[in-house]
Amino acid sequence: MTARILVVDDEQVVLDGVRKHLKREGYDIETVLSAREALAALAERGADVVITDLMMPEMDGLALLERVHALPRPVPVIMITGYATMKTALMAMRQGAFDYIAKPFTRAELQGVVARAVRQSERAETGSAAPPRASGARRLGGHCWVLVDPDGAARVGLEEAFAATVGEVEQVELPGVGDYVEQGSVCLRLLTKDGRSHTVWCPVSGSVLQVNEALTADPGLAVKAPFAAGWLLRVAPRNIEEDLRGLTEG
Amino acid sequence: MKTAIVGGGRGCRSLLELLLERGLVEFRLDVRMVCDLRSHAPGILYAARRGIATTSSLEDVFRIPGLELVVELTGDDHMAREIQTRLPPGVRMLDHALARIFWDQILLEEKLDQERAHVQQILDSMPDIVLVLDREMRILSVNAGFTNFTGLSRSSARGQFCHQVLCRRDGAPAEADAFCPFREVLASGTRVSMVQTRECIPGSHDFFEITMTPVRDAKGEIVQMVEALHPITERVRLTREVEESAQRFRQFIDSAYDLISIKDLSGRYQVMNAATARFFGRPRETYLGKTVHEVYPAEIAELVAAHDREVIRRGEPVRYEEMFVIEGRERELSTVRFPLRDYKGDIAGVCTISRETTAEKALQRELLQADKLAAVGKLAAGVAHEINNPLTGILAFAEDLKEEVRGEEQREDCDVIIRETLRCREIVRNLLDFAKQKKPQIQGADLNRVVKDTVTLVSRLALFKDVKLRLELAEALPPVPGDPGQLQQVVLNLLVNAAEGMDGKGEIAVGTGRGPGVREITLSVADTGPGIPEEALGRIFEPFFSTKKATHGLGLAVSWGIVERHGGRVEAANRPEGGAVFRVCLPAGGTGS
Repeated sequence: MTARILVVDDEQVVLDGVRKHLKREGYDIETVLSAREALAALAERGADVVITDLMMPEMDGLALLERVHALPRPVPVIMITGYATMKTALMAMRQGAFDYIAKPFTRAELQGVVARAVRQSERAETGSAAPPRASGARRLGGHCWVLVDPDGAARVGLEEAFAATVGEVEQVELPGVGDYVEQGSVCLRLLTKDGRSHTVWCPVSGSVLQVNEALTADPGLAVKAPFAAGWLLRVAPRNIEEDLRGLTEG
Repeated sequence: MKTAIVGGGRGCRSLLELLLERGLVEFRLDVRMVCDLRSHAPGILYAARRGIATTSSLEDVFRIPGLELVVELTGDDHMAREIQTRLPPGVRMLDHALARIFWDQILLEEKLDQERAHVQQILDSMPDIVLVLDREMRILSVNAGFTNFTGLSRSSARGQFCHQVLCRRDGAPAEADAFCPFREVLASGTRVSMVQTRECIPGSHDFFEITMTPVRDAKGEIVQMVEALHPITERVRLTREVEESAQRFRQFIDSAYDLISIKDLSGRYQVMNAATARFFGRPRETYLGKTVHEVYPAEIAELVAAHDREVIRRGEPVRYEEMFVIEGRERELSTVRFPLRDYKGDIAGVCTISRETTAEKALQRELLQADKLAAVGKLAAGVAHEINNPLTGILAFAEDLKEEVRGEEQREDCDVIIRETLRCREIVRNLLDFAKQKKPQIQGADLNRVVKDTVTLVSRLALFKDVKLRLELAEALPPVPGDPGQLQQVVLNLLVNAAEGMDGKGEIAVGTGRGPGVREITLSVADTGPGIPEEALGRIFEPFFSTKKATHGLGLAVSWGIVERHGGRVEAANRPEGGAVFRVCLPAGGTGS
């Protein structure tokens, strides 16, 4: 069955861009210029995934997200955001957005996140049970988790939803030890066998203390055992309390 | 004494004049008659004019009732003898020989009187107060200056003690007056001058220069003393005013924070205040009378001399922003130089007043930098917001086009568009990272800990493979109120900057310590690289300024921003032994900002 993607942005060139990026993916794509039009489209024709700009006049992306969640059958919502509004993007994740993508994005970045969203949408339909998570961890939406180790370092790994939807991982592009990462910015990328690049946002800010060297030999660990041997990296957090407030529990 | 004069010649006339006109008091002669055979003799004529009886007959003379004296002035001995023989009893005769002796005496005394009057006149003409004293300090005579000054007449002053009149200390012995030169002159026999005050009006002082001169007799004994009081109050007042004015000027220029100096036309220092001496770090005495070439190194001397010349040439005040290197430090001065003119209005020298503006200028530059950063931040946010949508479009269309086109060359062209668009994306993101500039989360940060952690982190990086990291950490460093994470970012930036500057080869010394200011902590990162180009030193903390091609030029600007938000400052310099050094000074106490 062809997945239906609804794209919402107040600027036509972005809609055209998204359409161009996704045209060979075999999706049924509809683009609209406002959240109101999106709600009308959803009511009339439905969608499997909604991609929406965060900042729009009148009704913004967050308001649209809320309305989508209120639908009888909620669907994954991907937020498009400028780099400057990363904080708002994190808030959207906390409010249940599936993921977000920062403008301007490459084809691989967009295709990756959309593919995951489509899979998530299918999973929701088939009612796949969520496997257990690490206890005490906090998560950045369905994206990644963070757990404070006894030594104070923040351990980061993929969320189940991400791991389940990303596909077969071919390579993990890890940051360098000593790199400064910031909550909501790119901390690593997963390259999958289908040629896509999946961005993983960092759930905490700080300097990278350690990366999971095991992933170099076996990149698949990141999705096979995301809560155990497949952890991604350990960060010396700058202000863990503030970062945790921006994440959801469980 | 009823008198008749026989002989009416010139002697007679002189005697009469003396008696009648000049009031010769020594002789109380009452001349009743003058006798001479010559009716036109001068004495006869004069006597007739003055109403005195005249005669040509001796008989008339002897008939004068109550005649007591006959003065014979004929000069004829026969006549004198004849009168002698015919003289009535009880009448005496003064013959011309005796009269001559008296006459000479009278003339002499008259001459003396005239001279005395002349001396007095000279004394009186002097504005000074003059007294003549005896050896006991009694006043013998005084001049008009004295009577004017004291209000005492000549005669009432005479006989009084000098000190009672002038010093107004009745009864007190003159010896008690330490300021009186009288005894000294008496003892030494030489003239003494001294300055004395005399209280004329209570509360105000008159000043006199007193000169005591001894007067000796024929044997050389001091018999009198001439005391002259010359009023010098005005002179003293003027001298004092000049001194006070000079004193005021010295206090004024020495209390000034500004640098003040005066040079004469030959360029020699005439005046130099303490601030100038402090500024140049050498004692003030070493300047006076010297030229700039004698006291300063050539480059400072040349600059100062050139400016002075310009001021003299233009003849008006000129402002300069001057910079001197003193003990290796650049010091900036805001200076005004102006010509000094003498009483004729000719230029006599150059005065310089300078204010040090080193700190002010540094602050201005920092403010400018802060302004620039804030402006860049605002601009970045605006630009990023506007530019993201077009970039999204460009990326999408370029990537799509790349798949559509057949030719290899066109595909490569598309790659260029994609690559360059992604480069734009990186630039915008860096700009936004920079513009975000979070407020630091202030806590007690252990700077040594931050340094050690960062060094551990970077030592594993490939860039630092061939870099020797040396730590020189001060012990027991007080905590810095700061954000350890942000401070770590600063240390990291400085280390990466140093390593990149040396192309990954060399030594980096990271040091911590107290100072330079009170309650300040300093972090220094020194490398052995090529150093910072002189022209780049002032701009190195500006956003997007980079001397290295590979970097975006925000690392140091970000560090600068972080340190500034911590209430500190960053300085970059080249080390004399080669390489660059960055110093971060942070407040050790307080709350930061």
